[in-house]
Amino acid sequence: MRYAMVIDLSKCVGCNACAEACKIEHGTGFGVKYTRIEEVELGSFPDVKKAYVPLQCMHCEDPECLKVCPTGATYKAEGGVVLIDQDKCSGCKYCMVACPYGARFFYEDKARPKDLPRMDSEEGRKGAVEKCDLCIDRLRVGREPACVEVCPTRARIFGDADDEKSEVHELISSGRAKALKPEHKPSIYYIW
Amino acid sequence: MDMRAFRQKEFGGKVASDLLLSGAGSSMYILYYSLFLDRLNEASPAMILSGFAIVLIGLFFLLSELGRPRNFWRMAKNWRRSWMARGVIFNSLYLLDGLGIALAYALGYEGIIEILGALGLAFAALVLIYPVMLLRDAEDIELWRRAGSSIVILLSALSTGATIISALSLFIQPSVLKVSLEISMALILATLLASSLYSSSLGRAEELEREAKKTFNSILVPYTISLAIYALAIFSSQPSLQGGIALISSFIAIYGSLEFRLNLLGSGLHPPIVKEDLFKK
Amino acid sequence: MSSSSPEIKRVKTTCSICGHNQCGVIVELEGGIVKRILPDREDPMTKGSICPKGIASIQLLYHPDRLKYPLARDGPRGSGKWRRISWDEALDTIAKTLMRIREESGPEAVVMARGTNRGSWIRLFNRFANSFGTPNWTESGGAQCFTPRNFAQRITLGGMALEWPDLENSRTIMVWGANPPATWPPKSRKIIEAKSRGAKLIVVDPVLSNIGSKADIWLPVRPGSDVALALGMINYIIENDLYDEDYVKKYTIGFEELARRASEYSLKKVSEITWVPEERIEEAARLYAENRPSSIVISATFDEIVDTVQIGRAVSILAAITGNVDVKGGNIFPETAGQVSIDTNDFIMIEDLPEEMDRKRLGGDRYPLLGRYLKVNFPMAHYPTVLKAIIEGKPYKVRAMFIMGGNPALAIANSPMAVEALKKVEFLAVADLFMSKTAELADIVLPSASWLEYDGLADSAQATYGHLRIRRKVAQVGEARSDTWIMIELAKRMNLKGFWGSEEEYLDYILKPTGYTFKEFDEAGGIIYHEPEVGKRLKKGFDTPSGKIELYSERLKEWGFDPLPFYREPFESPYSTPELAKDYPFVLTTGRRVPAYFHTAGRNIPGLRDLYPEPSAEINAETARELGIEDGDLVRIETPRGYVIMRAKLTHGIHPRVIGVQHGWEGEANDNRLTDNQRCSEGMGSTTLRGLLCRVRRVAQ
Repeated sequence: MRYAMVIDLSKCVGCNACAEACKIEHGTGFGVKYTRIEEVELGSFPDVKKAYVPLQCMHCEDPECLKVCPTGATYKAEGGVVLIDQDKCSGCKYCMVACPYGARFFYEDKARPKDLPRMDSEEGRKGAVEKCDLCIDRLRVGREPACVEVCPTRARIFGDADDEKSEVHELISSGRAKALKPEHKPSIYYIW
Repeated sequence: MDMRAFRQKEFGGKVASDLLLSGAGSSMYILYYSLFLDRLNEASPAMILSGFAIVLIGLFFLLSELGRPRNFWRMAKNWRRSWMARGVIFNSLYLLDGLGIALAYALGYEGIIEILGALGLAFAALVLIYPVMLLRDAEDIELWRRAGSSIVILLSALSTGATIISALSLFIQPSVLKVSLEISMALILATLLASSLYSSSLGRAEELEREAKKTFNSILVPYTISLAIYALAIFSSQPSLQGGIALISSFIAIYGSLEFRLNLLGSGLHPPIVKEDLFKK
Repeated sequence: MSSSSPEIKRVKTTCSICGHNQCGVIVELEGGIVKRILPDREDPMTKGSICPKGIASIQLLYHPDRLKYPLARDGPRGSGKWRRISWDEALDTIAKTLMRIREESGPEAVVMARGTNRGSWIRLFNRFANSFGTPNWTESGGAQCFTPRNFAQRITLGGMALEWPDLENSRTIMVWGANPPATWPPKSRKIIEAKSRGAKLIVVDPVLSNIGSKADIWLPVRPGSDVALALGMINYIIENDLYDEDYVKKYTIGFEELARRASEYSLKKVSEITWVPEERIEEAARLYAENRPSSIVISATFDEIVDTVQIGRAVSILAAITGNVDVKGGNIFPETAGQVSIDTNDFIMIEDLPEEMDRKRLGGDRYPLLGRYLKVNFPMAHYPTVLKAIIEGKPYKVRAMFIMGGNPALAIANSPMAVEALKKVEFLAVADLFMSKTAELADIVLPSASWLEYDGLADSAQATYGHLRIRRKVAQVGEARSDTWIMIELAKRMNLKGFWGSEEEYLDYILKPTGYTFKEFDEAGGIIYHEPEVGKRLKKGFDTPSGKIELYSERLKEWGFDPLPFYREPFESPYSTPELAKDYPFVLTTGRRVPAYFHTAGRNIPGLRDLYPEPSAEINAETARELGIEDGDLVRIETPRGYVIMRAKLTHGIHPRVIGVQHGWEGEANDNRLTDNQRCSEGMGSTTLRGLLCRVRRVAQ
């Protein structure tokens, strides 16, 4: 079983519903965005092309972060999901340095605007690095990740890439869905 | 807005300091111990132990960088793959060895100092090499994997260690002042040559190259000044003046080495995640 | 969420975080706590649309700063000293004060102002005002939102067809001055779906926005010059015989006159005015006219430029002459799902208001299309005139303001003047969710309930076409009550004619024609949906005096205005005020939206603030480079009226001489320090929010 996600960029309008659903689901603190939208442009006025690209932990097959983690807090679980055992993390942040996708976060209270209340749910993660966990708790009870569930334009498709009948398998094996920085063998693909 | 390389933001002043101090401290130990290899009884305990003390200070910088220092002891677990874990082990072994030497000196067990000293040499070599390997572990940051980066890290560490010996010698062991001045100058010169040669081999076309060039240039001015001041010291005959000059020169060299590491970390660029072909069907 | 979590309760309800879209949602509760808000993909109309604001409503619900009980001012106005009072005391005080002022100075001395539009209470508010007797109800949006384009569509097409594009059947879609991914999720979803079917997309916007990024043709129109663009396209279509001759003959009047007027707008001339390359205008006009059926999506831009009635007319005309009105895949006419329509003169009881009151309506003399009851849409008071009446006491003194869900201290043009008026008015009562900048200045503050906290119906004017969905209460915050309840309770105390004994009675009344009571509606599933009936007006005639689409408007002529659209420059522009343009060389558009915020709301919601943490202004990347501005730098943008400090957002998707500024921030980033409320559009009184002049420079970081 290999979990995979395919994001159709022709459907992503950069509305950030996924980013928000993720923040609400995990109660992340300010500045911590497990999934985020990058805006990219090409060309110059008036011939400009623009795209919105959702980025998050790619759950790579041979992750850079796992290799450098000194405590072994970063590990691989079922379906290829890369997880962080917060209890073991020492907060050295080398994984953040090594990640080719900038997908890892470390909450710092000073980043939060003073007029905003702090999220209580952050307490448990204090001092440790955090990132997208593909909503593993939801996967284990048969639900989809929060970002997939809310996308209003259905830009995100999720499934088991090893299941020949699944849509993600079809998109990936046909080559329609491509990886960003494919040398790291990510599990998140894109259609563009 | 544009599709650019992005830099790592986590490793800054504290990590640069840790890397510098572990490099300088272990270098200091290696160089000084080598000088007194066959006449250990003449070696100054203060000088010997300084090599460990400096690495210990570096460790405090690392601890202050951690989000959860209480999990520091876990940081050796993934030694099978992670250079950071290996570095924790090497540093710990080295410091324990240093503790052993300190106790041996304090309690007068002179006999084991030679054994511990030799072990210390081995551990120090590992501590010296670890910053290079640590940075190489980030496979996506190409700059840190270049031979030029590794060589200049090592040479700047060795030269900084040497300058610290020269700076301390006036106060602790004036007899080594002259030779330490010579070794410092040689190593500073070597570092200068390596860094400027490497810098000139880089172009200006891409952002990565420009950042790399800036990094390797950042050590040139402080090190040149340091070298010039050392030259003055050589031509002066008064030991106290020499010692004073060595002290100043050492500070400038330390600053230069720190600048280099800060810049190297700061220009740790990842290739862009999104590229232009995203817009082509 | 762990495997041993408490059972999940799912409640189908309707989001009203913005009030316009009424997206069907499913709220999940665990142990009585709202945990997540999901799109209801089964809703027959919204089909799974949602936005970050709706999703983050949980943080709104449990926010520590929510107003929880009524407050009375306990010190000088704006001092921040409050005394907690009971609902009875609060409502009694408001009722008694308003009645006393009505007695002493006439009902016109009381102004009822609302801001947002979030549910069934919006027209109840009008009803309340008319029943009370005051002609002076107004809105922060008002002449700058919905009203002008509504008016223009009604007098041209006989109904709000531009508000309802039949996107699911369109082959070409033209989005004009709107950014659905940020503000209209159901339309956004439908446009993307249409694109996957092969539909073509044209986007008219000075800035390349979320929807613009998906456009086949982007028309970067100079802010404020939209009418010229529309007339240029009309002319091109007529001159090149791309219009639907049959349709024009059968269903429209005034084509000859229109063609003559449009002939003044050659492509070349229009390209010079609008700064859009000729080829693009041509390409877009051709695509829209030929690749039919084509629909148009519009939004608040139409109400914020110098000629708000003109643009609504011009684009309605564009849709009409190409045969795209009341046809499948074009723009169609909204209908209710069978419930009592709150959008009628009948419901708002406008006829109960005596004619002398209609004449007393503030701003009605100068702006009759806004402020006189012309039986086209609902007349309202002109906000800048209201402010003047408070500050100067002319033409008569306004002594009281009752504001519900509005934040005029930040949201309307010329904030300093708005704040002056709010501070000066004798009595100010505000109902809101938070202690906003407006609420801070009140005498009495009432805690409103958010959409998660009351039972109701999603029947807003702009969203619920053929669709009626229930809203179910899932939580209670302090003593917060719905705005409907507030209106009903006040009406009781003031013995107002035409109100109900309770909220539920009101809801039953609205539902009556459907055969349900509110409880029955809830039990039956809480949703009614009818597919819109397309082509009814082609068969039976349009709701205009002639029974046809009036390209040439006799009524406008009667009221003293040009019966055909024409272009005129904004009050300040590189062409109308070239001297001023030397000091202020950039054309400014304000009111840029982002998906996380709704007007002035949302900055205090942690999850939303994280998406767009700081106020930003869009500047052309090349221009910025010339001015030494880098992405993210603090810049100062200034108009002759004031300045703002914002972060520069560099983009290639904006003209080098145009700057776009975000809306709804407070303090030095409030874009209404830049806008003008003294020079307003002809007939309608819209303040100019887009199409001004400004300058920009980098400031100390």
